Amino acid sequence: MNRIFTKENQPIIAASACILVILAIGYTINHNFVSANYLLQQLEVASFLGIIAGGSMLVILLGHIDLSIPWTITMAAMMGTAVAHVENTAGLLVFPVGLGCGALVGLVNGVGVAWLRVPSMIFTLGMNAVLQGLVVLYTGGAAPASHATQLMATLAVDRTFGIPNALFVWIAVSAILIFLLRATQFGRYLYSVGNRERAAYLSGVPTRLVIIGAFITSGITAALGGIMLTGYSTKAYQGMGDPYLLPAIAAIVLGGTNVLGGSGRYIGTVIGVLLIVLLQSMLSVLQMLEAGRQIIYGGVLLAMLLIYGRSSRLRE
Amino acid sequence: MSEFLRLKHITKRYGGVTALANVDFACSLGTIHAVVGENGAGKSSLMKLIAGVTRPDEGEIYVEDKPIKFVSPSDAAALGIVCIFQELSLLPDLSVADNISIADPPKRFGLIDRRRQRRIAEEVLQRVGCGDIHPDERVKDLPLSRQQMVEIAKALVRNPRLIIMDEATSALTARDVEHLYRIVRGLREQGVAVLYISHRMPEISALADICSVFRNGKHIETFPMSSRTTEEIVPMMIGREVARAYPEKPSTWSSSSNQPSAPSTKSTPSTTVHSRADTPTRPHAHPQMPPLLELKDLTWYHVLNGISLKLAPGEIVGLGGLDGQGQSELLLALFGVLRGLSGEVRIDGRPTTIEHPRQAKSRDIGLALIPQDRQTQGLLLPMSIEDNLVLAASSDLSRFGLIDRSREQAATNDVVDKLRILANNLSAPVRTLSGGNQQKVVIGKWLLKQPRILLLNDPTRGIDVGTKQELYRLMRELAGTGLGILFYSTDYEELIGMCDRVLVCYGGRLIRELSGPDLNEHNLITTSLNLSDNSDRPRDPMEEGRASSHAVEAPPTAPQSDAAPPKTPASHPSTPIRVDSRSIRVHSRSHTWSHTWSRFWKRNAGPLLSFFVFAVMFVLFASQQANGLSTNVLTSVSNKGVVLAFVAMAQTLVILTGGFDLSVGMVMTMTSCLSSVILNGSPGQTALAAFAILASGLLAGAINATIVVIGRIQPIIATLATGAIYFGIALLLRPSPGGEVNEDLSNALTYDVFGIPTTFLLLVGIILFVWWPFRNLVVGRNCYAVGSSEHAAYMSGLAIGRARFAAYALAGLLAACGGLLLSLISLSGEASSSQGGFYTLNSIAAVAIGGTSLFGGSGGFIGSICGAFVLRTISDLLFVFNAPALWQPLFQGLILLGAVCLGAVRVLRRKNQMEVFM
Repeated sequence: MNRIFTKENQPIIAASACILVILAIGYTINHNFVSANYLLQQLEVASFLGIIAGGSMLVILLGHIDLSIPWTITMAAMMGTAVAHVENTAGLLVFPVGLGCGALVGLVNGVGVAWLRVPSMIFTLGMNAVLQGLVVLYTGGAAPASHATQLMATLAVDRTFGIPNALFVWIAVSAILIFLLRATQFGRYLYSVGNRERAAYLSGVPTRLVIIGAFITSGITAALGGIMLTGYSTKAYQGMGDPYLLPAIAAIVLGGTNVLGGSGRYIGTVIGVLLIVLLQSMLSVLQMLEAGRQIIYGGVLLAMLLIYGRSSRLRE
Repeated sequence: MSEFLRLKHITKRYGGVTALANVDFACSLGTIHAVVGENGAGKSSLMKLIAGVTRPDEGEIYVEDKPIKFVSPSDAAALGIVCIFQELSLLPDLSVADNISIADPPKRFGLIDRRRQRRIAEEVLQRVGCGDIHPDERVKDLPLSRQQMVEIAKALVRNPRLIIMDEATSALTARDVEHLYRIVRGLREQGVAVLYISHRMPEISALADICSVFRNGKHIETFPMSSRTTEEIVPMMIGREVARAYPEKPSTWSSSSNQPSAPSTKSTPSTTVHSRADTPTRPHAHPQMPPLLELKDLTWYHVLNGISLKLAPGEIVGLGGLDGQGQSELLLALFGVLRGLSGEVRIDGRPTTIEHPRQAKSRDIGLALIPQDRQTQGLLLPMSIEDNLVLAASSDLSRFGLIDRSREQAATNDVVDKLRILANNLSAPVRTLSGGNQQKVVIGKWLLKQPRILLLNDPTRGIDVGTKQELYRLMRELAGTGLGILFYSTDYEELIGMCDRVLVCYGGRLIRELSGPDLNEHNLITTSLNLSDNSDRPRDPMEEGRASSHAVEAPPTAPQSDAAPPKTPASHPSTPIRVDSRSIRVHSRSHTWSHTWSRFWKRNAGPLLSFFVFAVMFVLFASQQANGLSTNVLTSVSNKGVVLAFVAMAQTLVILTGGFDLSVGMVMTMTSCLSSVILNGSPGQTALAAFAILASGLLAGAINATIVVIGRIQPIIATLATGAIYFGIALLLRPSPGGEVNEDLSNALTYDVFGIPTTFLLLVGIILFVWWPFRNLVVGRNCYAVGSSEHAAYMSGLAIGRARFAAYALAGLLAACGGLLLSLISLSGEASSSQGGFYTLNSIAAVAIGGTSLFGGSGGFIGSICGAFVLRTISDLLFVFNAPALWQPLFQGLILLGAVCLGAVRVLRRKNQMEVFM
């Protein structure tokens, strides 16, 4: 029993309990809330947020933050769709180009944070502005192709054996991230740098490369999220990434990852994503106005933080 | 002489280690009371109790016969007990004058009286002989020795009844110490009790009336200083109640000079707990073989001054001397942490440059460092024992970057058995282990890497006796297998018991090698104190160099070429430059002027630069206008930037305290929506509405403050959550864009006074009537203090929570002003989340451009306002120059990114990589 209720698992258990409460409330309002179809639909919606949150979790594990996610999403979607209709490529350029953009953004972020030691909050913020500028510049002159390809639509919208394909993508991304975090040196280094970069450095951990690796991962997942979202909405558009930054951070934190870095389990992020998506969905089922949704959303976040997110008192 | 303080039966434990055991102690007014003892004798623990920093586990403290319970340093200060700590409690970003009066600043009309504060600082600095320190200088720009004098000055202005000086002279120059003697004697005349803790016996015999000897956490004896000589006191400090046992040293060894010596007299058979069965000669020591490690003339910024040594396989070489004579730096230098080394390092005779720890641990070098502070440098406390153990050897134990659990487990189990790490469960956090076992984990981590050279930086500090014995045994065993060990310890006895030879460090040099029969306690202590050196001071270059490693941005002291011909004091041949450069600063007017300017520039570079950038942009913008610099132009620029300026000011307050407020944009949005609903009607109604709007902002800020200060939630995430709530309220108030505001009021924004737009006047008003008073309020100054160093602020007894609360609450109010203005400018309200996000993020950007440190502690409103205007004017500027509108966002982003990268140049210059990695 004690192994389950470790300090690290408490937030995950609390968040899971919250999910059950939401499902119960939803069920009393509308029995369809717990139907397989509805839940699958929620999982599909959660997939997009889940993919984006997965990579940025690595950055938060380091004690950094990636605020460039919104426009990384948008830029990757734009660049991906731009090359989608090049002849004789069957739209296969989308992924290398889109994900490559994400990786490049991550690389620049990583260099700025790891080498120049600019606080990640401000560097990625600046990066976000630069990306926005680039996208505006790119889309402004002409109207470039921004329609999703068939492959993107298949991945984002279609279902296989009744299960949304987006969910499979999320599972695949999750499997890779769990593998990275648990089975590779990179994962261990990530936690060690997040805990105390100085001690990791003195143990000969290549701390700068670890930071760069995390930002690149974050960029790639944001880019993948952007490509998937394009498939889902059939079109890439400016500002499409804006609604994903804060929910992603909230999901990661609700899942028990320490904002200051060093601890957190991937499964927690998954639970956090589900919690946020279900919460949003329940609020819309309640036909609550956007205003009420925001207030409850913030209130739940605060309440959960007050339960388990408090830092310790000043030491002696 | 009346008794002031009495401790009865005091016991203090740290984890499993008893730092003080049943101590009775008293001191009287009007005496200088020296407390002496070896490292770890319990002196510092005693002082921390008296100063209210820690609380005793058992026993009572009486001040003037009344029992006292201290909760914090400020309680002790209230009774007139003031401590000068070894680790400084200064606030690095604040001025010298601020620091000196931090606890009880002089006030005038409720505001800090800066002029009087400066005078107080000048007086007290004069008193301690540091008239050369300018009261407006930032503490972090001073060399370490000056910082220590400021710390002393800070204690003196509090008019203490009992002053504790805990190694207060460790970084001082000879001249400073003479001043200090005079001060301390003066305090005695005034009837102050002085507790003087020092390693330096000459200081003690020169100063003290009464002396107490501590050893192993026990109070041994107190006696009048005149009744004993130094020669009698030293043995009392050493004593040996519990004879520690050391493993037998190999009977022959070759020191670097290849002179075989007789076995140590210390390792008598009775103390031998471990006798090795193998041959007495060490396996790998061979005269023809190059030494494992050889240093020639290793030098690093005056902290290491030409260190040469050799380390042979199987040898344990000690580094002795007082604390802080360059020993730690030497080990760090070898491990690749320090930049800018000169001299030669040879491994196996090969010249080698070691650039970082990752290279140091590689197989062909094979170094391992057990760092000084295991809690912050050696271990990842919340991570598991297993994870900590495999961290250094991770790449050896894995294949293609994949973790091989079974291989790791086998290896960790091995090392856990070998070191006898007592843990029920290797997946438990390493934090749960006792200090001794934690240290074993650090050592185990490096043993897994199979190093050839082990660098130990005081590895037995704070470890119980039993574990120490095990570590000793292990060290000898490892040496037996051919490892070379470089062993720095602050415990002389252990150096003597363990080392084949000991190199004594003083002022960054190796001043003597002790081995064989010479390696005894008396020699070690006398050499360490450098009693043969009259000044008993580290050489000055040493002190200068330490300063440069601490305050990297410190300006060079007046260049040598400017100095008058050095008058060399006969007794300190090595100090002329320093003494002269200082006297120059005091006497030469022209230098004072340039110093004033450099001080001003250092403090205000951010605001000045951002103002300059804005001014250039504005002139360019105005020059392209048809009517030139008309009021219209001014008004449009001012009105465009004013909202962001307010939000940026709000953000500035929070960032100054070391936090972030991600809800400012949402508070601004909420209040602008509120004003689009209620800011209407008769003048009376409008005024009332304006008041309600500002109050709602203040309330929002207070809620943030409560959650952060009392709820103790990370500011970033707390304000993220409250931001959602405020945005929800904004949506409630204004579900769709629209509404209207009082027209007279909004028209007022287009008015001007003598050509100066009202919004600009408003900003000036805020600077004069909000910012300036706030800065000069104690609570405002404390905001800076908290952001600069929370720990030092706590040690100085400041009201940390109150300062934070004020910052967040006032930030809400300022954001509400921004919201009010936005609604007046746009004549409506809109609950747009992208608008809120835009303002939040750009407020941080404006703060960064304005030169406020994002880590807190320095900066201000003016810079942030300039930053906001820079950000808001870019687009207009690009527009008038016919730059395609499409380029604007890109330019904005690049300017922001460029501005924040400018600060990076500083980081790249760091000489000690430890300071880069937090």
